[in-house]
Amino acid sequence: MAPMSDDKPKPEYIDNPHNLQTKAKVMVGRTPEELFKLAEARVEKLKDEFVQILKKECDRLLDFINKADAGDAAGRAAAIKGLRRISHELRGQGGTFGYPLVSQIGDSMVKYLDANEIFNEPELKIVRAHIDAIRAVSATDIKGDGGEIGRALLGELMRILDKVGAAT
Amino acid sequence: MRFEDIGRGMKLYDLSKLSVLIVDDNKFMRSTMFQVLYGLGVRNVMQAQDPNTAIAYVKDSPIDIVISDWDMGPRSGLDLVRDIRAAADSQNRLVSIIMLTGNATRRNVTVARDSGITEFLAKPVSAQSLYARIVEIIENPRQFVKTGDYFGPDRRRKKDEAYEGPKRRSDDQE
Repeated sequence: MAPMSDDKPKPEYIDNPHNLQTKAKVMVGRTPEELFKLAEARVEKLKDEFVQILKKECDRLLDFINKADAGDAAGRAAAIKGLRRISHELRGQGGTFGYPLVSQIGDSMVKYLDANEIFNEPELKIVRAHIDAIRAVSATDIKGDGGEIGRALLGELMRILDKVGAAT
Repeated sequence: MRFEDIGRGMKLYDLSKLSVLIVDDNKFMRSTMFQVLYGLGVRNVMQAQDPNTAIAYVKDSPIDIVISDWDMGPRSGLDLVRDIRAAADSQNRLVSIIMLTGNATRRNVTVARDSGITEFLAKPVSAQSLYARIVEIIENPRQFVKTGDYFGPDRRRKKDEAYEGPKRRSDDQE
């Protein structure tokens, strides 16, 4: 290995003054599981609100995809932007509230939207398939992995994406 | 590691004296993060809906950890990280920053790391995964390093004493 060039600036190291060990002390004899339970109980109280948000966002997704289908190029671009925003938010929230399928489908939808620049009828059909899957989770309140129904929903989505070579 | 094992075996820390700033443009996500942090014992939680509001907090308030979403518009979490690390007049230029994103690709992890974040956390967030990042910051504080094009926590987390291969970093040559 050749020696490194001498003209490369030497890194300057700075000690971190924010040592949090002075502020956060270990509580001996206790485990963090008790904190997790407290935190999860607080999140659980927001679950109903999430379910309502999910319903509203499903309506907005449907509205946007209908606009994308019907709109001109500018209207379609605006609708795609709206679809991306909602699917991005849902993928970040679903799993926290016990709806990992929402996160998985949302993630797949964001990746599909990001991977395409032009949205004509075939692309919009695939976006709509994602929206239908999220709406199905919301309408039938599919929690967790959804068992057989969840696998069927994801499987159908993967089959559609595979068909166009866009599986995520 | 299985999801349910995250956090297992960690020590319990009293986080009540920590000050944490949540930055997210989504109000419901801010509420969720607040509840998770409160459940974990953090009592001083500030919230900002955008990077510009956040940077004002960071300059003026004692903050121990900033937890920022990446994908905010029009300015992103990365812009906030760069602003914080560049603010020479700020008392919190070296504050710990946890970057949250739903798009946790290898490339994004690298981009975030190279912008000067301390930890990266994939959404959806759980109490366990967030606690694990906070504990990492507490137990393994890193030096900051300034090079020609980088200012942030040393990207080498731990020195591998057993490593016997070639050393390529400029400071390794000393």
